[in-house]
Amino acid sequence: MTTPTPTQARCASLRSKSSYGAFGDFHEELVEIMGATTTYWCLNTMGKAGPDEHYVHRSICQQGRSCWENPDAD
Amino acid sequence: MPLEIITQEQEQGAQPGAKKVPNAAKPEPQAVHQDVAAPPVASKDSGPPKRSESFVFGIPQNGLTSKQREVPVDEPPPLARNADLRYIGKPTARYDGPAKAMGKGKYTADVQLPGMLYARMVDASVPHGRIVSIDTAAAEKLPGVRAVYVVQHTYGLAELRDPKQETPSRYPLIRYAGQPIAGIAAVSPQIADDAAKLIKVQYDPMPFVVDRTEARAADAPAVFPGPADAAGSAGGGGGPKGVPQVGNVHGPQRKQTGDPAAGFAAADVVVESEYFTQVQTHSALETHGFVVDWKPDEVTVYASTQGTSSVRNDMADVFKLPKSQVRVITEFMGGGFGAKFGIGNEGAVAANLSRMTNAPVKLMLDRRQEHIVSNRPDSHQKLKIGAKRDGTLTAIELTSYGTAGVGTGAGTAGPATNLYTCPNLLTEEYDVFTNAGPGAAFRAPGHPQGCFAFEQAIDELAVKLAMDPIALRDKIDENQARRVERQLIVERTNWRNRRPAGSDAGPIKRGMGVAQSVWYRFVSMNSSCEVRVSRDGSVELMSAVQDLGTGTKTMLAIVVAEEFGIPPGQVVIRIGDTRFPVGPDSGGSVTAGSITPAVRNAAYQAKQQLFAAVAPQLGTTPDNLHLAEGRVLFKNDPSRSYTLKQITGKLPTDEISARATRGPEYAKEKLTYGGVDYVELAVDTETGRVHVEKVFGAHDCGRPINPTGVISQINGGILQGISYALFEQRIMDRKTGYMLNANLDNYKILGAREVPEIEIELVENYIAQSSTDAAGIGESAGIITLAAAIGNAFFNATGVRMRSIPMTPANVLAALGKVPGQPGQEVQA
Repeated sequence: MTTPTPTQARCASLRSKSSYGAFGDFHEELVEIMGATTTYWCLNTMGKAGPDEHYVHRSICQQGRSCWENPDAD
Repeated sequence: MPLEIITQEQEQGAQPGAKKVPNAAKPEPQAVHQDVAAPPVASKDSGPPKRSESFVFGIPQNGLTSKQREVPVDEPPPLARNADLRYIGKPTARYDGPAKAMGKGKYTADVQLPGMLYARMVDASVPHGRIVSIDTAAAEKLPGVRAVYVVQHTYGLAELRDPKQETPSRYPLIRYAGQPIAGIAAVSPQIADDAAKLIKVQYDPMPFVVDRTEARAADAPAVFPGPADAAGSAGGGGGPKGVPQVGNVHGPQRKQTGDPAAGFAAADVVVESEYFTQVQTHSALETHGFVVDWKPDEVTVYASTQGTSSVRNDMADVFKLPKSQVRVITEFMGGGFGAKFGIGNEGAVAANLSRMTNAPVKLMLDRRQEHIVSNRPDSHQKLKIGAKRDGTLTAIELTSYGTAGVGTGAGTAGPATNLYTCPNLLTEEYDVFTNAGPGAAFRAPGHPQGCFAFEQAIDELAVKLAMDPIALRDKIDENQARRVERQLIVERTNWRNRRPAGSDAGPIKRGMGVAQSVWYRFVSMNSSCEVRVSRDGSVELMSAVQDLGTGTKTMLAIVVAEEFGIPPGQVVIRIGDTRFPVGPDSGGSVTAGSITPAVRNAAYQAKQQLFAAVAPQLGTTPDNLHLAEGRVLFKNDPSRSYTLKQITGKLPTDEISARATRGPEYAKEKLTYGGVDYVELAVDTETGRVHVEKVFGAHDCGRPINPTGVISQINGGILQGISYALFEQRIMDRKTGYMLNANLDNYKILGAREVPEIEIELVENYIAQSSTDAAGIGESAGIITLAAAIGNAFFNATGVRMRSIPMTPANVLAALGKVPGQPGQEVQA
């Protein structure tokens, strides 16, 4: 089966190159096409490890991780 | 659900509105835009009012058609094909070329502010370890040092995943040599350098691994230790969703369509091989860097960035500032290639130092740090392709492992997934963590690696099928633009005289090869601008969009010039400043396709305002006026005209202005771009030297706005592609974990002697998706194809398949069986 795209809310501090664009109708396609080539970083650490010292990736920077930040918070 | 890419041919065939022009050789003349828009029609959706327009559509060599689209009523009439336009599509010299040539262009590295301090980043000297202490006392006492900022661990609510292996610390764990630790601000660069040497860092070293193959071993030192793989382990939950982690191996990210096993069973011919590519560093001439001037009412950031907006957003988020208090300026920019988004450690450290000292602070990475801060991941790809005797593909299977150091993003499956039609596909992409500098997006991420393997495998398939490689691609590639591009190669190069592999008898063997690329159309809605027209006739464009050195300023001047009928050089372009309307970040070839429609729309609206303001004084109506060749003409009286300046002089106010933001694509269609590159080369089988003698590239990117700029981009991509194929390679020391060649002496980049003859042909491809139909070229411009095309030419020259890059003399001689070692031996990453 094809690796599913995570649907949980991603962390507010997860960043990738595409985080900064507004790709409108094509955002999900971009995420899918660039999936395994996307490099992520954490805005809190400015590095590839999150505050919990685990790696950052869209598949795990989700609600439930201890350092997760709500993207909808004020 | 696998992504379906709709090729141009499919798209054309699927559109009932497409109308074939009767005479393909002489396309039906398209109306030159005459400021006449079609009347509004009721919109089918709840968006802004729309009208129906007929757009030029397709590829000139295939005969242009027309396409009916609904467009917002405030947008200009459709553009004609380039041949019928005055400035768009005409070669134009670089707008800022003279400033650059004379050294007047001010890059971030050139910024000098009163009282400015100079900062130096201090980085880790071990590849893996805990920081026990950092002693900054001696550095702080050095005369001229103004501040030291130490990067500290930010826990927040975070819990360490495995307290047995991860000790809580004031400092982040070090995972690669070169990881930022601290920054120093001083009154001169020399003092900052001296102070950096006085900072004493005590480490508790940990085992490390820098080699991808070694890192995959079960007993390899763990880059990210702790509970592996289990969902819910990541600090209490939210574990991987279908992307496992076992030791240092993260993956696979898996895509499947159809039944690959059945596809291979149905194949008449199967090719199966392994390919290896190396780590390439970005090596931008201007290193990552910032000048930050922190003032209480506004923070001004001069940034070497691909996204002024990304820097403003990060500064606001990290320092809890309103965006209105952050100004980012990128007047000139010395290359990014995908690695310069956001503020990074260097931006955050510079900002902290500026805040601490109440002075502007400049922090540019040095050349060694620039080599470590980012790279294109390496790869080990296992590729299998099945086909019928006529070339029809029946199955593709790709497994790839790559290391982005401490990060992820080493996938390679783009070309295998998106170049050709194949009903059965399986790709599995793995990241391998190592204690090495992080990967970052790099010009067509994953595609040069993937293309090196995939397009050589297609070539190998052609050999096995006894087919001409171009004829095979004609059979399996549905993309109409690439079909035209292949035909151009057949007609314009020496391809028809191609000889069997290894035909030359002497030690110098010559050959030719081709390879193809694919990239994707994405546009960013963060694309706005303002066009001002002043009473003295001057015209200005303002947007926060930045020019990375790709020619964005020139491109935008051409778009405005076309609308006003004045030479591009008369349009003043002010971009790269977040005080102007927001612009798109430049990555993934989105800039041209995103910002040019907004620019044309704003220019059109400003022009309409001008006509409306002056028409009563001219005794006419606005719709009786149009602009051409710098003059305002009367449609009902061709003998009557005024200069633009005479007309603007009648404005009732000092200026008029119009602001526009890019709207959505006219139709949601997934489109791709690409190109085909042809290479002639010579291989010296005694020295192992490969010399590329000629490259012919045929490329498409929608409507080319400035052919000179597009060709310049392709030239650059081709040279970077040759450099990747033959020279560049990060060398890591397994014993120390250091990058051994973190300089431009030992990290070899293509130089003037290695530049071949290059010829480029642009294929116009009108897609009727925006008011300009423009698209970017940065990704598909040669960087994707060259390693594969060189590999195919190498095979044609020698009869030996190069399965590893870079094709250094040592690797070539090994592949030719002239030194001890196995052909195709994996290169050290």
